[in-house]
Amino acid sequence: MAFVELHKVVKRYQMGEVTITAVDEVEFAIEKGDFAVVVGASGAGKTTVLNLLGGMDKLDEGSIIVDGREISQYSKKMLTEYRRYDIGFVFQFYNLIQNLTAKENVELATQISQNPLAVETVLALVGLQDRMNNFPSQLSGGEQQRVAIARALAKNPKLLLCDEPTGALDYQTGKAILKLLQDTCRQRGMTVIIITHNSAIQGMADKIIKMQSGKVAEFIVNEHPLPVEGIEW
Amino acid sequence: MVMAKQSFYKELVRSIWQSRGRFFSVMAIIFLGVSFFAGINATEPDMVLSADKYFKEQHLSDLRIFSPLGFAQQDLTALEQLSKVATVQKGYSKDLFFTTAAGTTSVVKLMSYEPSNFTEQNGVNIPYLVAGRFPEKSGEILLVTGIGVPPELELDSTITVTVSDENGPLEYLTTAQFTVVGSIISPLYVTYERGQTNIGDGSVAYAAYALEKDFKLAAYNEAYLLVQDTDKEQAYSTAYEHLIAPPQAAVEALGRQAVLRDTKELREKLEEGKQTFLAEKQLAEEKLAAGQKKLDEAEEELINGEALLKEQEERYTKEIAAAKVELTVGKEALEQGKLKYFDGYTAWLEGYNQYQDGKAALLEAKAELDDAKVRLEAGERELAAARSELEDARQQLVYLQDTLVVLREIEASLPDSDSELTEEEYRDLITRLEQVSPELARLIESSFDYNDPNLINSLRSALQTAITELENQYETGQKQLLEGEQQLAAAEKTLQDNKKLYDEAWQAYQPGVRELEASKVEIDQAKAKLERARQEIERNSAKLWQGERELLAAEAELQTSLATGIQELEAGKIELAAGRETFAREKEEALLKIAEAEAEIKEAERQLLELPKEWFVYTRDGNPGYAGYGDDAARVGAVAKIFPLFFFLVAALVCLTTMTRMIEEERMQIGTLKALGYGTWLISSKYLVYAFLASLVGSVLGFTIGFQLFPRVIMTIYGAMYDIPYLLSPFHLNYALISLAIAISTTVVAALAASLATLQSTPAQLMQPKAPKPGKRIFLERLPFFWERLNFIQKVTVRNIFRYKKRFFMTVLGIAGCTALLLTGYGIRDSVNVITEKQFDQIFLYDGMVIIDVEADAEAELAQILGTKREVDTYTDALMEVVTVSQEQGTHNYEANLMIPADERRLTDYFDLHERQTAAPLPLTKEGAVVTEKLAQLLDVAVGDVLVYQDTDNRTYQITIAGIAENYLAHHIFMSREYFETVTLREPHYNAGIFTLHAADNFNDQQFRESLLNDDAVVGITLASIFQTNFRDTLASLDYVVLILILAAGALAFVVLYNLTNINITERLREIATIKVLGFRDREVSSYVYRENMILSFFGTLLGLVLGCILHKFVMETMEVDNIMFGKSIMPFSFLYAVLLTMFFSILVNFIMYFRLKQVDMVESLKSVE
Repeated sequence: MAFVELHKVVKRYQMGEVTITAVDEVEFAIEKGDFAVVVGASGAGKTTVLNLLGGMDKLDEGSIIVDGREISQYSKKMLTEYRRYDIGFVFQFYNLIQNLTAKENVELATQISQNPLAVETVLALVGLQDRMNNFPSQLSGGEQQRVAIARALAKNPKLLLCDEPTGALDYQTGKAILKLLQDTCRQRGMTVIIITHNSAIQGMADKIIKMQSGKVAEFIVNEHPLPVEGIEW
Repeated sequence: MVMAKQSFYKELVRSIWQSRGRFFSVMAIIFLGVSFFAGINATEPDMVLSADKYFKEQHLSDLRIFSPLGFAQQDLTALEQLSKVATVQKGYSKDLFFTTAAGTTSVVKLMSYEPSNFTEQNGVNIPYLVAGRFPEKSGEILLVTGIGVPPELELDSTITVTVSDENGPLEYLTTAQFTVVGSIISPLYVTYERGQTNIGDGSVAYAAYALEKDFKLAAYNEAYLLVQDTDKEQAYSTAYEHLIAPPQAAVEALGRQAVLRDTKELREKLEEGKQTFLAEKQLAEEKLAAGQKKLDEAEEELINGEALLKEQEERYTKEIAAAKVELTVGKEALEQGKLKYFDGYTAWLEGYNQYQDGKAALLEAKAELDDAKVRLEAGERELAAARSELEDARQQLVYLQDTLVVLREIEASLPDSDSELTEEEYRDLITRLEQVSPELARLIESSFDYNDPNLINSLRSALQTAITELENQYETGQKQLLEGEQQLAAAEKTLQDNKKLYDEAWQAYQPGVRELEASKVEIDQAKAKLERARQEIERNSAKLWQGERELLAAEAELQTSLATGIQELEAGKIELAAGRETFAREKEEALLKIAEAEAEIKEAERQLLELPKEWFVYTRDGNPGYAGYGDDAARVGAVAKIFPLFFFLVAALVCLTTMTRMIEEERMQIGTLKALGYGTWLISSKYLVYAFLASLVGSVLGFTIGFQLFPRVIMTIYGAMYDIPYLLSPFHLNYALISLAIAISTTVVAALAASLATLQSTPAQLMQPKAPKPGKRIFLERLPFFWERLNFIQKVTVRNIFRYKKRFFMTVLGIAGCTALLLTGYGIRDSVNVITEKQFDQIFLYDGMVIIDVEADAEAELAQILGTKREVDTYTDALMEVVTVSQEQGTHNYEANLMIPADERRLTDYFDLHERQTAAPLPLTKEGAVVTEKLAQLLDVAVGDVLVYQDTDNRTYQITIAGIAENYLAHHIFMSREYFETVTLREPHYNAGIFTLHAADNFNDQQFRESLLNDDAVVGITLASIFQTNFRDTLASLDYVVLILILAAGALAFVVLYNLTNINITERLREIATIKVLGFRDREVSSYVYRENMILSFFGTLLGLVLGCILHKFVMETMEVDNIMFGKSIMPFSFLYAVLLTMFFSILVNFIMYFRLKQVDMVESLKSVE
């Protein structure tokens, strides 16, 4: 059994009179330790998949199994626990709490975890050991995203979900962040799923899910993923 | 551009529609603020307007004049001719007791109603008919409705007039029976109070009108005046008061003259009466003296008589005693004579006995002799008898012999047996037989019938038998005769012997008889002598007895005459005593009459003295409740001055925040529009129009509803106390404009300022997401001892609080405002309530006060009035006077009660004088006076300053303030007796008794009042309990107003908190979504937000309490009327309530927001920063 499995997942949104099927019978599976990329254009339903995977939304049909548990059956409360203990989330706009220092932002996550990693270790891991007492506004975008990744990692989650982690970053920084994510995956055996519209990234993934109009257009198992340095966009 | 503008306006409309929640929330806050501000502010003028309309409609008199003596015609004419006086309406009024059919007796002020006064809406104090009709004929009565009217007095019920004085009701009225025909309200009586009187318990229970012709008073005693042009001025206004002042002065002057004139006549009459009285008094005194003299004479006579009687008694007693001695001597001599007589008698008796013995012996002897003689004679007779017997026997024997012969012959003659005997022969035989033995003859005749054949034999046998028997008899007789002859011979011999013996005894008896006769003579002589002696004794004895009887009679006579004398004396004494008693009674009566007459004259003098030196001239303030209504309106007005304004400002503040937030939210759109080339003005005009529309609609709705709602509610509340039939709530342009201006300007200016500030930036900047406000360290982090104690979440919270400083201040201010409003509301209630509590429980410890009017010894009078009352616990006497106080050079003066206790050490039992803040007691010293706080405040004086007061006799004194005492009602000046004497150089004349009562459940204040009023000296009574109740009732309505304030403040608190929390959440939507994604549970999310809210609420509440105290102080100072000091402090419970209510609203808002937080979509976190 794969670590993450989606079976015929359907999600519809009611927009007034119109019903939009955002995700239509999506199916894929990701193994533990995989570096997966969900790629597609705007409106392809990738964010919906992310929401469903992240326990932020409930599906209408089908099932999602993470680490052998069918989270699609979870109640709202159980989903909160799922997010709390099993998921690490990296946002496009970092979503750091402006009023907390880098370290405190990480602490915010560790406060609620069961067996968190040491805050300073994680910050050192993302290369911010010297800036951990700075406020987000004092950090560059890449640094902020590192803090965000550190915050996600510090929770010691089963699954790291990243929503356009490089979307707000310049090329170099984006690459650095991707490297950090890949390294984390490879070195720590962390299962990482990245949602992006940037198809260039797919080269470095183990599993590539291409989405189009709410459906999985293509599911590619990349036997030879490239290192970050090998990709360009 | 036109098109663009069109789409711009479209956008505006849509934007309003899309954010309708915000639009309506701004509108609602403005509505709340404006309606409250405008409504409360309109209440005072509306109250005054309603009253004013009523007063004008009913032509409420401007001046009411009462003359106890009645008005002379010339006075009425003079009044009418006074300049500035428009109308004079005259009438009668009299305070009487009215008793209903059910037996309720009340003090009623009966006034006259003259229909002709009220034609075509003319007249003064026109009654406002509530039910029934106006009286048309005598005996019909109108009642002024009010709480004092007994419930059984319905239309058509009857009442009877009773009068307390000796004159019946018909002294004052033409009828004593009235029928209720209608009930009215009168502008003269706007409250339940009906004024004071001098009968019953001192207060009028209800008022009534009867036709003028039902009155029998000598002259009109009331006059109602309308002053010119007062119908053009509003009641309670200064302009009105200015109009009234000159005619009032003129009327008062007129009154003084009139009273002087009227009392002059009275005075003369009184003087005359006095002269008469003095003459009569002298006469009576002379009469009394004469009576006394007579009585004295009678007494002397009585004493003389008594002495005489005594003398006589002594003399006669002596005489009787002498006679008694004499009598005793006589009695003794008599006793001796008697003894002698008895000796003689004894001797005589002895002799006599001897004689009797002798005589008896003689008699015995004689009897023996006689006996013997009788026996002798009897013997002789016996002998003789025996001889004759013997002779008889001889003859018998002879006879027998003869018979025998015959019989033998017969027998012999009888034929033989067979011969027949003839009848003749038989007859012959019988006859022959009959000659010798008739018996035999009869026997034969009967036994043998002639025809018997055996006759001859039978005859023969019978004859033979008879012959045999006779022969036997003869022989026996022969023998017996012989024996008798022998016995006779012996007896003759014995008799001869005895005869001889008798003769001898007779011879011996004869000398004894002679001797006895001689002694008898002797004894008879002695007897005669004794008899004479006895007679002598008897004569003497009789004489003595007679003497004794005479003596006794004399003694009895003496006793009788003495008793009579004493009796007569006693009678005389009783008569004297009765005479004395009669005299004493008569004297007493006479003295009483004199005293009564004297008292009457004194009373008349007093009455004359008491007669006011002028008419009682009352302005409208003299009408019960008139001034109170004005004060109440002013109080509401005072509350309106600041309280709603503050309320309004808080509302405006919240709108400002909301508008600012809106502009910030639309930053991107502003940038886009600006980039599109829209002008600053046009862009900002959207927000201005938005703000303007919201506040305009809110304001218009606000004052439209506020002008109706609040004045009506508050007037309805006051309506429970005031009888004012109108409830006017007109539109007040001024308040409408003011509130509109404030509301629109705050929101529009806020919108303008925020949009202009935003528009300063370039479009590019604007279209960039606004850089999140950078986080930074806060100063608290530099306080390790504090910072390190906080856990991570707490640190986050603290830092967040300080991060959004603007929100911090807005929230804190908003909450503070609400708390302050709540606290002020409760505080007003406290300040008002504290008056009754503190004043009557802590400062005025006494239960009542009587004012007495006596010339002389007040102490004794009070002992008589209060000392005898069972209900009274303790009392003390004091001087109590109403004085006018001012500063040394001051223009303002105030009326105060001057109080000089007889014993200042006992004052603490009745008044607790202390400083308010330090609670230090203020004893009365000789150094200065203690004045009450409000007075000191009004006159702006402190301890050590000098005040001037003027007493009722217009004497002016200077006093130094030694202490300022806590006090809430009226003004008081307390001085020790010593200080008073120092200041005034005279002794206080005590005229009041202050007392405390025993705590009793069944205490009946009505009865107690009446029992006190029964005493003529009592001219006034104040009972703390009644005062307290009345005062509390007056302020109860204000309590409701406060309740409205509290409710409004509560509503505001809720709206403000809701709005601020809403903004808070909206601003932090992304942050909240992020932590939700991070896996924060719902409760953790809400506590993440609420912790800040609660802390802000805490600071807001804290600040609110401070602000509330300031606001409360300000409101109370504004609200205060001259003679009341409201409580300065707010009760701890009010703080608690204010805090709890704020917390309640805060929690309520948080509770509602909890659901909003739950609904925050985590997808928000994925969106780009706006």
